[in-house]
Amino acid sequence: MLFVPRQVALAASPQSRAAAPAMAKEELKKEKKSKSKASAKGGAAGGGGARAAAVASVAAFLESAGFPRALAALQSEAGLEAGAWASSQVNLEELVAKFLESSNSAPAAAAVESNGQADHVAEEGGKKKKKSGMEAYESESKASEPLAQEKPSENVGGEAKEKKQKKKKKDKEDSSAANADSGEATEAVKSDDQKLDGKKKKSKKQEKDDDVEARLEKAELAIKRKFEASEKLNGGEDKSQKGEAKSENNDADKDSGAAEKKKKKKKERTAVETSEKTDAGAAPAEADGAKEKSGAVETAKGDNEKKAKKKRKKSDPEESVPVEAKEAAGQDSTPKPDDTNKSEMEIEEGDDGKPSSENAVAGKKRKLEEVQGSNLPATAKEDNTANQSLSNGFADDKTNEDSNIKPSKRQKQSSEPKSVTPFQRVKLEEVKFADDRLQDNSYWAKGGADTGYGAKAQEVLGQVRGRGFRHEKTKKKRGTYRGGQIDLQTHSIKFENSDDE
Amino acid sequence: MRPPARGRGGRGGRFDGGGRGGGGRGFGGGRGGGRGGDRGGRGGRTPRGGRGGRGGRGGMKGGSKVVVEPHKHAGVFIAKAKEDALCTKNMVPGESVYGEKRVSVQNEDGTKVEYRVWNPFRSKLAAAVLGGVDNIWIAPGTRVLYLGAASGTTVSHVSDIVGPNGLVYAVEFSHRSGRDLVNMAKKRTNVIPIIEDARHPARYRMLVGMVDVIFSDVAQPDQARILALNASYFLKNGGHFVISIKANCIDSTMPAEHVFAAEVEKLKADQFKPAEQVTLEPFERDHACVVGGYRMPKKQK
Repeated sequence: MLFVPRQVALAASPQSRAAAPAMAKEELKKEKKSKSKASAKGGAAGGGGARAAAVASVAAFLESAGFPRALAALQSEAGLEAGAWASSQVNLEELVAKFLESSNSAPAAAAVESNGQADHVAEEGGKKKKKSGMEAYESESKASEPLAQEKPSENVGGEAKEKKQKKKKKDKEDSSAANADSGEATEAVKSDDQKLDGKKKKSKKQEKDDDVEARLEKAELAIKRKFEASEKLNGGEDKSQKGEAKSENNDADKDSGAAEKKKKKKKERTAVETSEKTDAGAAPAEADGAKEKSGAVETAKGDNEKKAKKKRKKSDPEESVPVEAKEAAGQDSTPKPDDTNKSEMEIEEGDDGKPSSENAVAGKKRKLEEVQGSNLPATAKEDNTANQSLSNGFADDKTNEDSNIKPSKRQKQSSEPKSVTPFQRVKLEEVKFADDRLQDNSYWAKGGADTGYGAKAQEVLGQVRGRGFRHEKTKKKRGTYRGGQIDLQTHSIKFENSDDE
Repeated sequence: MRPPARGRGGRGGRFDGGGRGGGGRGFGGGRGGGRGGDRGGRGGRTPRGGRGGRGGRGGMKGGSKVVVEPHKHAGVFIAKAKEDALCTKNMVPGESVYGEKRVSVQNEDGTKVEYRVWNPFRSKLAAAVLGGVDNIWIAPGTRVLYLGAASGTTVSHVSDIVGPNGLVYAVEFSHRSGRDLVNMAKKRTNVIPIIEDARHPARYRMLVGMVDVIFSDVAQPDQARILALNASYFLKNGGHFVISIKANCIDSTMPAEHVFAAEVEKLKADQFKPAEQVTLEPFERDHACVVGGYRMPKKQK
């Protein structure tokens, strides 16, 4: 709803520079619409003569340009008599041409201004549906104004008027949006914006800025109040404390950050501040003079604390950008994308709200992005490299440890006869036989085996293994075994060295 | 008249059986023939004597012609009849612990002494004795700590060996086996059954006093450690140990001989002095019995 005319205006604004006549037609149509609406609502507000002249001029332009249908529609709606516009003193084409010339001569000011005016009118036409009657009246007046101020010499005055109107609008929006204080603050910011951007500023952009700024400044105000509370507590030491905090951040980041939550909070804060700065402030990155201007305006409005905050914000984000970058660099990779996403999201929002490419804000965002981007990839690389080095180091350490541990384990396992093979508890290499006879545990290796008591059993049991052995042995357990004579000699293998000690 | 007839019949039957078995697999046939011969002998005897009712169980049982000789190990006897059999003097005459045969011998003074046949296939200690171990250190009057008593078959014979003056602490962890052990110990006053884990001698330290010999048949991978632990608690200095080593329980991947050697080394590290080692073949497979001293005095030779 609200954005459709903006987009149309956006699409029209570049076209106007390329093809002025088509642009003019569109503008005229829009003007026509607005005019017709204004006339429908009653011409009490606007001056009747100027209005008639404007309508006549439009009709004359339509006729000359060859729009019979539009002309007929206008005629029917405005109740004009056929040929009544022939006497129109104002030539619309000439007016537009002069506008373009002035805009070309005064760099991007007048022509854009005219476009902006036209767009502004169109926007107002769209906004009327939503906004209150007051705004509708204003828009009517605005819509009538360009026509009334058709002379190129009045352009500057028109600008001033527009600004005033915008200020009024802002006031209304702000008052509707926030408190009087916040309104003042936002006003100040907007006036700053206007003053700073000056000629470059387009009215529609400003309005859009205002919309976005209104949102952003709400958040800003909330944060400001927080800061105010802290300021009231801390008094004038806030700046130094903040600087300290930032430096602490740096230090903490350099110290590889024990309290990450605090950092995250601070990061968010700084991110908000930077976004506020970029979106709302629009001043600080450009020049210190801008700061001074805004500061002057603010002092004129008399909020010293806010000014201090703003200065802080102006100074802080500049500090906080590298701090952020450092933080983002110094901390884990997970918070990084969040921050960047936040800022990017905010930037995207701002872009959505200001699709006409705010130079200042976009430029600052670019700066931010550049700063963050330049810092982030480098830091990310550093982090990656650091992580890689760390991981490599860890891996190396692990591998080294493994390589170091494994032999020790093996040694331990060898001491307690465990080794790589499962269930192997005896190391083959470390077995030393005290006696050669010990290398054979079989029955026949024993002394006196041939005539021994177990010879017959060995004849049977030596033939079988496993289940068969158990089977045969179970049969022997019944007590029917007859082994012959039992000799009383010793057939055991003595450990010679055991008795020596 | 009877003994000669029986001896003849038995011998004749056995030799015939041996001849028959030769054609077969050697032992199975021979054994069967032997049994048949015994039966035949007994069958001829049964109408005359009353003991044939015990059926085909062994011919070693006490005829009057059975001569029991003492083994070189005190408390162990050899019943010499037509076949030799290892036996111990039954502490509880008339009672058979696990269905083993008994041999009653009437001395010259008319007193009857009953011996129980000690089956080497059931008892590793008997297998060690038959294997020709030099000294089992278990003698009448000694106190023995028996680790891995199981159902108490060997414990009963150890109880026979040590006699009324000796003492056997039989440690067994399994309750099912320990039930039989306790039942056996009910009739043998010198057996103290302990149903505990031999790995934790502190649990039964209040029951066991100083012992002269520890016999270990736990068949665990850490049986050397278990033995050392129990020896540190209960074995007197200069005492002895008899341990049965089952190679497959320690390391089934290595040859048994290497396992035995490793175990001997382990025992040496635990203040044991292995004195001798004997294989338990053919009664057990891949078993060895190691006998030695514990904290032996330096000049023991």
